[in-house]
Amino acid sequence: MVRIAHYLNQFFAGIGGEDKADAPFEVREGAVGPGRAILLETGDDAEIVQTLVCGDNAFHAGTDAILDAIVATLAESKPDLLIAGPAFNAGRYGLACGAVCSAVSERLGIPSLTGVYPEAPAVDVYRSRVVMVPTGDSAAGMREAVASLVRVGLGLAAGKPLGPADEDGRIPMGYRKAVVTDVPAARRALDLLMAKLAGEPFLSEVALPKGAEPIPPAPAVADLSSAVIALVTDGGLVPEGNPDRIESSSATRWARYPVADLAGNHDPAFLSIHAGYDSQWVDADPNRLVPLDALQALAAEGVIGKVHEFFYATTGTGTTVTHAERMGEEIAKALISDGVHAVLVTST
Amino acid sequence: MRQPFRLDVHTVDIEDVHLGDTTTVEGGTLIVSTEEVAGLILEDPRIAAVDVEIAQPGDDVRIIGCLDAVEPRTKIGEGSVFPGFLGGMETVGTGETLRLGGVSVLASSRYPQPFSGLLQAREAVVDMAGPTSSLSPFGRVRNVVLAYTPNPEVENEDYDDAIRRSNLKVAEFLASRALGAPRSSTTTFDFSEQDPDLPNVVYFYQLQGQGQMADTYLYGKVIHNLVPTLMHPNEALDGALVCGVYVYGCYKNVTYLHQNNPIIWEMQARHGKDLNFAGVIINRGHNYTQEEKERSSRWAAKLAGFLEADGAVFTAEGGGNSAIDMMLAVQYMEKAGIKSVVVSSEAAGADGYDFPLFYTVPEADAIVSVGSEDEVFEMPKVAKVIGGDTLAVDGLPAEGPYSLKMYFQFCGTQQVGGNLLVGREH
Amino acid sequence: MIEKHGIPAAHLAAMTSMAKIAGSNRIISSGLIPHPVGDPTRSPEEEFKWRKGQVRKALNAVATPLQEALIFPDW
Repeated sequence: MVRIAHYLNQFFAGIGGEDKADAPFEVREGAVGPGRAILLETGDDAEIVQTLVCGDNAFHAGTDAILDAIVATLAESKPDLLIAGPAFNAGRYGLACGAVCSAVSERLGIPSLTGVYPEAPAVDVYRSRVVMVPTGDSAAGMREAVASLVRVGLGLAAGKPLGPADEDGRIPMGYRKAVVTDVPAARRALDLLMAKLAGEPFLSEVALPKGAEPIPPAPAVADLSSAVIALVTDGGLVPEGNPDRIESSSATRWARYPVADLAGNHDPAFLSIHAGYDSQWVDADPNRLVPLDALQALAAEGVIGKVHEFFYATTGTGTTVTHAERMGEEIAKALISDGVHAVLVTST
Repeated sequence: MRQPFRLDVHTVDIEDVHLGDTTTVEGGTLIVSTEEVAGLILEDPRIAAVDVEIAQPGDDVRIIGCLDAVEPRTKIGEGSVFPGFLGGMETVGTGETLRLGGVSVLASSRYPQPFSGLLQAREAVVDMAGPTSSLSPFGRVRNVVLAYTPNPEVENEDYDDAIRRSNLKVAEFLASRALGAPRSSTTTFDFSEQDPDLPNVVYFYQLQGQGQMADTYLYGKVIHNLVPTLMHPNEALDGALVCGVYVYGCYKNVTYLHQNNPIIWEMQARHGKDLNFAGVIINRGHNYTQEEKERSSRWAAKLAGFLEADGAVFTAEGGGNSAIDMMLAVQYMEKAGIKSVVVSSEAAGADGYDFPLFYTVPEADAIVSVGSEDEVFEMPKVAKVIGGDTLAVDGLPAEGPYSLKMYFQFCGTQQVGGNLLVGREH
Repeated sequence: MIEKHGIPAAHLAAMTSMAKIAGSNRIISSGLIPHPVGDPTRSPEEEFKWRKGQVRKALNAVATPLQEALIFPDW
């Protein structure tokens, strides 16, 4: 028999509405309110050992302390599963359910889930961390919501790994993973094409991006002849031996090296460790990637003020957007603190 | 494609493979003589030694250092499979071909000289048992593994040529020993009859042609300067395309997959029922400049127009760079009113949270997924490893256990649809 | 990211479409993928002269006020 702990707000615990939203955290034995609907759905497969109750305002006023209390309570009672809500489209209640599930699953390793309306604010905040089933926007959808919570929840309690969100009947957590299928890609491709040709609705297996937020252009350099110009590349140029262990693909690291070392290009020699292009031409002459000779010549001619003393390098192949954005952020900050006025970036 | 171009492919299904004294096919069993096969191979002095091993589904075996896999095939009567490599130059795709169903000749080797830079043979593995056997299509076939040892004096490029020819030769030899065996089935590939009431569908078949260790051979020649051109689907099935792509193991199209291209087999099954198979447009991926990519993709769209295509299926080979060539072709075909479907590998990051495509155009609104190159899998300890003791990834002991990216799974996410994985939102 | 922090950045790349998708604002079409500011077909002197020209284009780009992303014409 699966031992369930259940989290409710003041309204669903029967304490009262908005006027009781500061009801303090309490623990009750057994099932309360929607907990009884859960037991109707599970039959003899489960029991509710505890119901954790907290007013919505009280929860948000003392979140950390209440989460600590919940974790301490469940560390003792050791339920197999935590169900929070369902919260439907209630903003504060949904966020509380998300916070409780997140704390309990991450700190105690107890499988946890909640049910919310797919457009509720909790989805944006907790989708990647908390298992959520979609519900209607009000308690009129209680029966369906409870059925989904029980179906997915008992699977979690049994240690069943998550499958594709639509098959599980969950709100997608935002990550993709491969599963084995019995319909080959060629057949799926032709099925999709036939539907498209017939003008029928079709569903792409990968949705296109919504379009990146354009970054407004930075102001232009007013006077090149006094400007400090830095060189940056994603072509993986590093000293021989790769002292900073920049990855040859899927980079998470960047580094900067003195241009004086590169200008000599000997001992250590600079080489490309990038695994996404044939680097023989760059290895023979790194200026083909980081145009230091040309920029230094232009500095000597007075076209620019000076060449910044470091160049910055990472590897741009298979690099995830998350890491690329973080590294860009870090490099930008370093450039600012070094007083660089403009940057030339080269990409392979 | 109104011109008659008919290929009958006779299949002898193989239910078991083992080593024996004489190479023969008897009652669905392929017996391979190590002596005969090694004799054929060692005619070439560029190869120092070869181990012949059998790896079948369910065996507690991991194959490492995988290069190409070839299905045993031979022509019945006139002609030769793999023109440009075996026999003389000729056009394939007509007449009768015999294949051993469910068998591959799989080359495994390291190269005599160290590599530098991008274009090098990288690790590629196949597990024959357990859940990880689903990561490569070659976990589901009976592999005659040829584990080669190079002559240390030979340059990589030369050695590469030696093992390619050797593999093709052995594949042809094995099939030739089944000429007298009873056939399990025959499939006819003939697309000359076109039904005016059905939509015309073309196959945009993009091939990797990036340089040594990343080349596809078309009738024995690399495709570096190829503009998109027309090919009959039967030619691909009959040995016109040979793989020499050994960079990233997961998204390459080995020769076996050209011979058994699942898109072509699916088109064959639907030809005259759902669609008219209107032709294959082959294109070189990995063009080096935007201008060259624009040139090729516009050219491909023009050819599709000549074929009066209503729809097109797109597959590429390799990763991000090649995706641009393909996606631009999608864009220009869609602009010409040709409906597109793309089969694509994903790159969603190790945890799957990243945007999964390398490059997209807004017109690519119908995409079929074959899984992500970034996904990490736990490879268990196995009883036996074929192809060496050490993985060419961080010097790991090959027997395991370790975790390994999809990158290194042999043909794990190749984009002609030869595997059974699909990336799904979780 | 660098432009977001107010430093103008010129992006020299063979794959201008990728640079655009990646969100670069000042894009200069340059060279080939394996050597964006190199041209091994030229003599070393000619190659250096050409590279200096490409760098000048990039400097011009960071000195040009822009309202939105631009792939600079190959003037």
